[in-house]
Amino acid sequence: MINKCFLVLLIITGMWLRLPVLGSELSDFDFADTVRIHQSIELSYRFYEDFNNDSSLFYAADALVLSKQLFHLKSVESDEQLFSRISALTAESYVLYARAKTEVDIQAAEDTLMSGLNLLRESNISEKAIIYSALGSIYERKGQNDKALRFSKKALELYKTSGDNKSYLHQLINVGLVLRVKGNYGESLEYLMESLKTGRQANDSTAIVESLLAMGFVYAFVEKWDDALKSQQQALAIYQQADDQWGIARIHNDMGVTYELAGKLDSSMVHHQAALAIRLKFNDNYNTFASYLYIGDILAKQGNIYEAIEYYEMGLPYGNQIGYKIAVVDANLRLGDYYLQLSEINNSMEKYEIALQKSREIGDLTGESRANMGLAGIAIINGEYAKANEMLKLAEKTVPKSNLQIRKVIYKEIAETYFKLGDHKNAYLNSLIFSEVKDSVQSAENISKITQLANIMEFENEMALKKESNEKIMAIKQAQINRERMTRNIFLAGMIIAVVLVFITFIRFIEKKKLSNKLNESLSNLRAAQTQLIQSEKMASLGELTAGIAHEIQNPLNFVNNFAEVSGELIDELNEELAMGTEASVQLAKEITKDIKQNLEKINHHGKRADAIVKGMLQHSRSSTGKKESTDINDLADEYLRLSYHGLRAKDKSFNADFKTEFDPDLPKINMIPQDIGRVLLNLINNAFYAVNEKWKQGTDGYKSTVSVATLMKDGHILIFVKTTAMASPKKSKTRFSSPSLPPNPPGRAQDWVCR
Amino acid sequence: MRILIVDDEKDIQALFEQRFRKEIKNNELELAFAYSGEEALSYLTEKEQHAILILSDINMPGMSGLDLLAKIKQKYSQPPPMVMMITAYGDEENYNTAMKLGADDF
Repeated sequence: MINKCFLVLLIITGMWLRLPVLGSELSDFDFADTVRIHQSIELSYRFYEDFNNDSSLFYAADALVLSKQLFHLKSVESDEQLFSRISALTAESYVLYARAKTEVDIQAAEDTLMSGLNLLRESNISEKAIIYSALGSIYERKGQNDKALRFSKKALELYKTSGDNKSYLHQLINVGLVLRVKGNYGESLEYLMESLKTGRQANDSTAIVESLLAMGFVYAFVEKWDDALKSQQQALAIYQQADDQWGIARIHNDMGVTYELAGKLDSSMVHHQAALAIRLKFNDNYNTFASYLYIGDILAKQGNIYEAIEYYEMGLPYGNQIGYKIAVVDANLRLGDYYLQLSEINNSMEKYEIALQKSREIGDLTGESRANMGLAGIAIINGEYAKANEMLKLAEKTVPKSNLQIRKVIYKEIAETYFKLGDHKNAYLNSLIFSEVKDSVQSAENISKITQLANIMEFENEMALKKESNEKIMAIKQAQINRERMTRNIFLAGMIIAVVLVFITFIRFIEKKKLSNKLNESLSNLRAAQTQLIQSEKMASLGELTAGIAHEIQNPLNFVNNFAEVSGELIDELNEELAMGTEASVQLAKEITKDIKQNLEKINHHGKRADAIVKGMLQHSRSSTGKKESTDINDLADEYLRLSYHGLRAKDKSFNADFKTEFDPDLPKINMIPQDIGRVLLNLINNAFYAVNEKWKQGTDGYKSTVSVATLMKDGHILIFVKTTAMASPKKSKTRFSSPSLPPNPPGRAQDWVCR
Repeated sequence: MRILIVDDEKDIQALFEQRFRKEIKNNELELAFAYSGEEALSYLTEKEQHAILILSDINMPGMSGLDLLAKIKQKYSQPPPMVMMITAYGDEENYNTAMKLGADDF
């Protein structure tokens, strides 16, 4: 009620200020205009929160038109302070307008924001940030998660530059959420932990709670139920401290969802009921509706259809009231299904009819086709096959192409109705389509299952790594804290005693020094242990290489030894011929010296070869200096190709593969850290060899396992190709080509990886 | 007597030719070289049975020495050429496999 009065008041003052805005050109800056923009922005906010989208859009447009005009005024441009204020208002208007527009026309919302970006200047950093952030949410809604991530991260960067800490903090959470939607759970958790930490430092309880809750579902999605619940309970404690009932209900809701995902329906029910009780008390219609639906779902899962219906029916009035139409359609559809399960045909039909009508109103195609399917199901029960057939065809027309699950059922039922109608040809045709769609559904499900598993595994790996390094850091920190504490205590004691006796103070002083020395020593020991750990990790990877290197050195050394030996024999022979002194023997002697010279060249060549290998090995084992050196990519690739081949050969006796190189001779030298790039190449080539060897083991006739490495200079980029004759690797692994083994792949053509 | 030497290192040819320079001059020995298992097989097919002794490396890209050994022993049974393996990987597993496949020396 108060809210409504406030709205009316705002509107009246707005009208009084200056009405005809649209169409009229402003000639000069008037303070009343900024007041009016403020009013319109405020109104747009309030209407949006009240689910009154049209009015929100209207006032946002008003604010936008006016602020854009002010933005271009000369008098505004020349006044720095004024300009920055107007810029902020303009950006806010853009975001509000886009937010309201998203509900009706998401493409238009995106275009608006893009034009906003073009309008703003280089100096409008924080304004650009909020627009990037808004674009991020639009792309997330459109399901373009990569784009959403890119824009959200851009916004984050700009907030950091502008020094707007609060927005930066909240944007951290946004990025974490986008990553979660993308399924990058590990990275998501990283951002959220950062926002939690920063939030705690800044004492920003909203940020703390949002981070905790977002983390809760990250944990839930990787099936770490305990961690999920722990985060949620921490958030609960904060809300309880502030006695924020709305928040408490929210946490109960989240915990209910977590328990439901974990399959603990009873616990889930307890929390959803608790959330519902609070929401009912505070007339929170929007969330009350959600709670009723959640409880209905759980009851249905527990097989308690009657009660599930009851809760759905109780929830629906709230849904109608707030106008959350998609959810209302869905609720009606489910009610239709439940009634049908109980064979209450009339009730079921009624619900489907409502769903059909409402879904048409809002253009919810999926809802419309599901309603038609429900009605068709009833017609089948009533034996009206022609009618059912017609409705199913209607459903087929409306269902989105991508919704394979529903299409599958539709084709199956169309086939059945044709069969009942005696039209065997059409029945057969539709059953064919059915089995085709069924296959697609299955493969889509498999892919999503595998992706989910891969995400979970990746998360586990990341966490394991982090835990290890965290423990090391913790140990060092603990030592520091201990030292500080000790030093402080000793110092205090020294002060007190100093008052009593200078003499004792002196002894204390020495003692303190000793202790602090000891502590310093243990700290440096700890640090040394840490560096050693890092070094030993590097040595492990060196060990893998050593076997390959040993063989690489053995061959040239054999040549050096053998050629030297043979040359010795040749010299003996030479002496014999010279002793004879005939013309023929001089001729022979000349030939022999030619051979000796050739041998010396060979010795030199193979000696250099061994030398290069040893140098390469030293380079690898040396701690990476991070220094860039001018490097020949061809040499580097060749060296690591050989190391990889011999390393694998030494490890696995059954390993067998051929390798080829096609190097572009005109590559310029590149400034890079050769060890680091070398390691990337090594992993890549190892994977390639691994893949061809796997294929070779399957024993296909005439199969040649070959790995070729090629380089190419193109448009100012150096491309490095690693080609295999093995199976194609799915696109996903492109970004993770350093992982030690590849996921199982479908057979396909040779695969190129390109690194730039 | 003709010896076929199979190794992927090309310098091996110069080495053998010099080591056995006298024997070659006196026509006691005739050396032939192949740089891969595939090449060795095609040599054997063209000039059947000419090589009495085959020296082969095990560790070669493509067809390994052990593969080559198996193929030779399968194909040229009457009378088989002597096959000796030379390799840097003189471990037991390779030795046993080679002997099982009928290598005459290792």
